[in-house]
Amino acid sequence: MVVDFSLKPHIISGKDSLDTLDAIKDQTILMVCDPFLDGSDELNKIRSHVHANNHVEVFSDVKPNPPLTNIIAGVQVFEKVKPTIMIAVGGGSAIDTAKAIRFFGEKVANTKVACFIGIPTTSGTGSEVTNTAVITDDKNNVKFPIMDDYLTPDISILFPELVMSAPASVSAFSGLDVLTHALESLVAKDSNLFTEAFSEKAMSVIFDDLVEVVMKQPQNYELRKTVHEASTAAGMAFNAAGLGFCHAIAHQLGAIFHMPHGLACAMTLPYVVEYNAEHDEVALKKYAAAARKCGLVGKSVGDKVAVRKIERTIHQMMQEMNCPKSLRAFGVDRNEAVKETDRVIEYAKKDATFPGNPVVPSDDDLRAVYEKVIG
Amino acid sequence: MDNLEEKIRSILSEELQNASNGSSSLGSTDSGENGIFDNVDDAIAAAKAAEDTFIDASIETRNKVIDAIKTGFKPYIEWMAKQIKEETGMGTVDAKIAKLNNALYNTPGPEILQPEAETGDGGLIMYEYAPYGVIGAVGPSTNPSETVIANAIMMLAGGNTVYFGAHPGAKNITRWTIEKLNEFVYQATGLKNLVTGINEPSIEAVQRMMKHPDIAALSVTGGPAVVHQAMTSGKKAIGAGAGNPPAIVDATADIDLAAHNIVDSAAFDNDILCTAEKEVVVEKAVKDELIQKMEAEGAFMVTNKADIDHMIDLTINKNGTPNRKFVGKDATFILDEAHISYTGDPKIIILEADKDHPFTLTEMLMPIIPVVCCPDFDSTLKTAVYVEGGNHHTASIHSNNLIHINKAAHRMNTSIFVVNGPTYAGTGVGFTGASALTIATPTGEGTTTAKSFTRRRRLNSPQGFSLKTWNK
Repeated sequence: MVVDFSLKPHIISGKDSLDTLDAIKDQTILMVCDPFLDGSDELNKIRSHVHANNHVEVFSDVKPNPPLTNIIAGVQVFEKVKPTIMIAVGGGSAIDTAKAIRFFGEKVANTKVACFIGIPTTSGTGSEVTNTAVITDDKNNVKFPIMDDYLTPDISILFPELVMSAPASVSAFSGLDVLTHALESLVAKDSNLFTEAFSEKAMSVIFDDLVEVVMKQPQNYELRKTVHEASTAAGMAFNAAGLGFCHAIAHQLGAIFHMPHGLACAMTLPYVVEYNAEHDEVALKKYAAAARKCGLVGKSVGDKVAVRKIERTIHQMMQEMNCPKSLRAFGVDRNEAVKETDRVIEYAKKDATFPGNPVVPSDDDLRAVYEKVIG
Repeated sequence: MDNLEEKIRSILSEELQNASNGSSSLGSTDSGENGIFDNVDDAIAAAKAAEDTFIDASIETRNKVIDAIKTGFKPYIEWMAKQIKEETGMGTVDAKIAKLNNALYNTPGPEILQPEAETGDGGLIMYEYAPYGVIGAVGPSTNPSETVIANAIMMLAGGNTVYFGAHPGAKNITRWTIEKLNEFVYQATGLKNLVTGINEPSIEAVQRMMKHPDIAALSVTGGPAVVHQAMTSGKKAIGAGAGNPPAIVDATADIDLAAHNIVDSAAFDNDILCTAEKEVVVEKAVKDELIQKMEAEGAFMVTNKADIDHMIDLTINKNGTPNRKFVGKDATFILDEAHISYTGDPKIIILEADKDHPFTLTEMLMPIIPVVCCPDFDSTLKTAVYVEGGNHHTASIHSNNLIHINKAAHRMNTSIFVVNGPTYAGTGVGFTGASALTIATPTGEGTTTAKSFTRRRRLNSPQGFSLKTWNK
């Protein structure tokens, strides 16, 4: 067993972070962004930092759960312009689309992208620091993760102004996604001292600041920046440590019930934490230690109580941010949800995140967790 | 394109053979669109699931929900009034507009749920008004949307969610109201199913609801049978029963005002309100003047005994209940059907009758108002108590004698008592006061508010607090 951890993406964060782009000269740039960003003030602000002697091509036909069809369209553009630099601007879907375009484009066009820059516009996915792109083959209704370390962006620019205007629900869901990345990576199979440091810090920021920034101070730049950075930190943690069966279940909820990914994660997370703490001594200790460090409980509080406090705090945060806590509260009919049980279990076990969990839950364990998520 | 897709698919299959994993995506399965479900169990389960979230929600969320209802329905009021009239065939559009405005804008929210506190050497004792959970409500066909709206505001203000058993005679507009309400609430707060109902309401569905373990309390408006059923269900019941409100007019009354108020209020929505004047009991000294002035206000006096008997045959069933064909119908419709000729456009029908006349003792819910004459005030009051039938629902008096007014208010012993005014004032229409759509007489809450749909809970803290003393 070896500890394997690298700090690949060069992270630049803050008010002047876009200045990084000023250095790019005489390049062919393929910019991939969410459709609503094309022509927006935000994108123009980013483009204003790209020197005019570069050739810039924008591809904005990005869809959630990136479908292969859109990626193929992107690869066509890639093949035509043969970019030397790619800049991905947007949420997880845009960055994943860009990674997939790069993955196929480099092979099809037989060229190499010298530098891949990720600029996230939500504080949640972590895609700007991970080696993974999840894409959907829309013809066969199958999701593929493409994982390769070279797909990890070379540079991630965290420009907090981009997340300032996000609607409360988007900020809430993506923030809960960050918390899920943090709590799952904290105990995941490949976690180590380095990843745990990132997980714990991300947890601490989300517990401290998320509700405040979502519900009370959406215009607080410093808080937005902190949460934005925590999202990236959590991404770095799970990129190396892995995730667990919370994400494995949440991916199925997203596919079947078309619910926001972060919300699906948050609904499932407390029960996965509960399960892992019950079945894995190391996970119990790690959760409890992190809860104490985050100040959720006092130093003298026992491990089990500390973990319960994590579970309760997640529910409380969802409450305060008006997030439904169960599928039923989200409006899914109970019988319909129950009908999907076998499919959720079957595909959760096949999900790429499933093997990261510190213990392997049985079908009955998964069923019990899913039952609680239904509510 | 095809060539490129082929290439990409071959890369996929080559490189991702082992990494691939499946997750098929299917269409959305969000049944129970906007709060309406196929069966009672699903609808109650959804309301229960909503309650599990709503019970923890902030007061600000409750206020948002209620604001969304108030602003959401505003543009639809006139349309709803017409739809109710069309579907039920009862009442008048103008009255329904007034009642909908009343339900929407005179129904207090969470602000009336103020706590009470006692403090002293024993520390702090606090009382707060907490939700029951899911309330099962049954509404009448006479106030379908008004009841859904007013009950929803009151019950949600109290932190409950609601399953609504619609009256089959008004199921379409009830369903529409529930769906719209859910839409408004969802848009404003993201909360779903705070108020639910079913596609095909029925008596069986109401019975199933009353026995359902997830229903914490019942709020039932209807006949004695359904109210009795609610009260014997073993659950907390708030029952709104029948009435037969008399309007007392004594010799000291301002007869112009009395005549105006009685005709106006009895004509309002063609007398289908359970609070509306159903008979007049008048002192002999002013009877003729009152009848004459009521005629001037738009009442049509029927005197021919054969005509009156014919009207009785038409409008009262063999079992003594009013014939639904005439409930809430215009006075002119009743006169036409009875082949009684009239002039002008009468608003109500009046006749002289004694205290045991079928029109006097039946809750007619149509604009036929018998006038019962008594020799003096004491017999007038005694007669009014008699004809009210022990319902203790609503009564009114027109008088300028304080002693008479006080005595009548006491003796009538009704949930609503109106002095020198139309009884619809007691429901909140057009006047000061909270809306009163559900008037719980058998169970004693009277004109219900959010408070009626909460439990009074007590907190004791013997070690503190009291700001006025410290003797620990």
